[in-house]
Amino acid sequence: MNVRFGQCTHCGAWLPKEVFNAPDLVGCPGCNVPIRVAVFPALFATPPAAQVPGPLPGENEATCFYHDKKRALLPCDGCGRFLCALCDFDLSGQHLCPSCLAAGKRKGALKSLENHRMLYDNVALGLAVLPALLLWPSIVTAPMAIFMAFRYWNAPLSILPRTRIRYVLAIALAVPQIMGWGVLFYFLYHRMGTG
Amino acid sequence: MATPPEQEYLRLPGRGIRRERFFSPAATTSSLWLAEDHLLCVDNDRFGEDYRRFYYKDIQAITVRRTRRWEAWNAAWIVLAGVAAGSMALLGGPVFLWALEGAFCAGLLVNLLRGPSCICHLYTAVHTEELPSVGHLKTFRKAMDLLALRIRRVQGELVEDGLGEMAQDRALKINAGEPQGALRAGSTGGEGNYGGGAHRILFVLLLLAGGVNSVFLSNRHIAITILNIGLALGMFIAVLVAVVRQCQEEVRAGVRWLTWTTLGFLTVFYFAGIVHYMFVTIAYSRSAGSQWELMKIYAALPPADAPWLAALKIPFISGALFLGLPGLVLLMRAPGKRRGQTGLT
Repeated sequence: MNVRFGQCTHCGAWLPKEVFNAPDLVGCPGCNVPIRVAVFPALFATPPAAQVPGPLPGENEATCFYHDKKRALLPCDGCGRFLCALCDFDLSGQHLCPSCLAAGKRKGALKSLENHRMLYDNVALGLAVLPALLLWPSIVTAPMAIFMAFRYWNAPLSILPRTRIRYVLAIALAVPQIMGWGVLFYFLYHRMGTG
Repeated sequence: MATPPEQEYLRLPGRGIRRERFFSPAATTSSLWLAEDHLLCVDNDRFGEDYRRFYYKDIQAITVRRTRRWEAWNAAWIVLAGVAAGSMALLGGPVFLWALEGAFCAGLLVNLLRGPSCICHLYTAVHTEELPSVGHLKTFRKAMDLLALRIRRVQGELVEDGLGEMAQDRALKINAGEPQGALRAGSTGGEGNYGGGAHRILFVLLLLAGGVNSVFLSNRHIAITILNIGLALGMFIAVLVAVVRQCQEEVRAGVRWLTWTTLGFLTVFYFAGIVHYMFVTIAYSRSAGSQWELMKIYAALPPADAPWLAALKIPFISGALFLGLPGLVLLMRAPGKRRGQTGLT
């Protein structure tokens, strides 16, 4: 259902004033379900005015790298190019130009723009554990787990605090599986040889 | 290019499942993390993580609404523990049933300790996001203490005088303009996205059980008894899933009521069935050498010789039809006006 501010998230009824920043949950007038809304000053803030380009530069003033008719306000923190108000992107205190922003996102250098990360350590651990439960797939997946662990050892982990213990566990579990298969083939080979 | 310093993240209490489908092979767990200037919502599907950032300066409001998921789970655990206890009384209490009973009681205890459940939404100027990790009021209070502190540090304090009127006024202004605050597609998987699958399965099983029991009255066979046991088990699972589901999702009031009635109906007939089976066991224990033989005797009892069985079956068939048919009809009808949609009060 559509959830709009000021309406009950259950039935859509408009909420009474008592609900806003109340110390405890208050019954909704529509469905009587207890609800509370904590509001913050941003709700009442006026939206920022659109960025207007700076005044026209004088003769001895620096101009924007991308707009030669606009006055430069500050340099890009990435490449040092002069930027006008239009070309300046404020990202967690960093001032970046459009090309640095695009390059940073493409290369994954700007962590605050990342919205997905692959957890290779979990993939390696999954390959080492799950197929081993069925036994026979481990002949393929155990080497894959070791490959994944070494291949992606230096790849960035989660942006949250995380260690490489899963890689270690994946290797520790996959190596005995490979050894087990090796021993099995060794005995089969010798049995066939003697038989 | 200069790389910004690594963010320090502090974990907020709570972890929840972001529901996008009814059955999902890899459930996505969601958690919240506090950074210096933003709140990070992390959705983890085991092999990857999705991140959403809400900058403290942009957060306009956070709502919390009490749900009945806690009560539903309590009821589900109690019913399961009751079924296990009934089965123990019937079968003499093998070890696995004791283990099952213990597991159900532990589930009930854990759920009781977690406290009442809730659903939490966060609003910015451009979107609304459900926060699945905040699923219990206890967690909400702990998380909110930490989060509100950081938001106020960035945005400053709000004057409390006349705040309610101001917020109401603001809500009217926001909603009078372009569509704002609609939940991001797929962000809740909750209200509005539920197609009624669990309820449909329940009502179909009820009708099937009614049909099979009608056949049972005229045609006695052990296969029908076994099919009945299977259907009873299926109905119990379906009703529990449906009850939990309707506590989280927008479901018609009629369907909601029918589901709760079905739960009561099945519980009553389950215990009546156990009592009847116990009487049969006592009456035929000498002629039956094993449980299997006893079940065959039970299946072969003609209604004339077993009036109690007929007295059980006939109300069950009627009840199953009276609950199953309207349930399916209500589910098939187009959704009407939601209850409680009132004007501004």
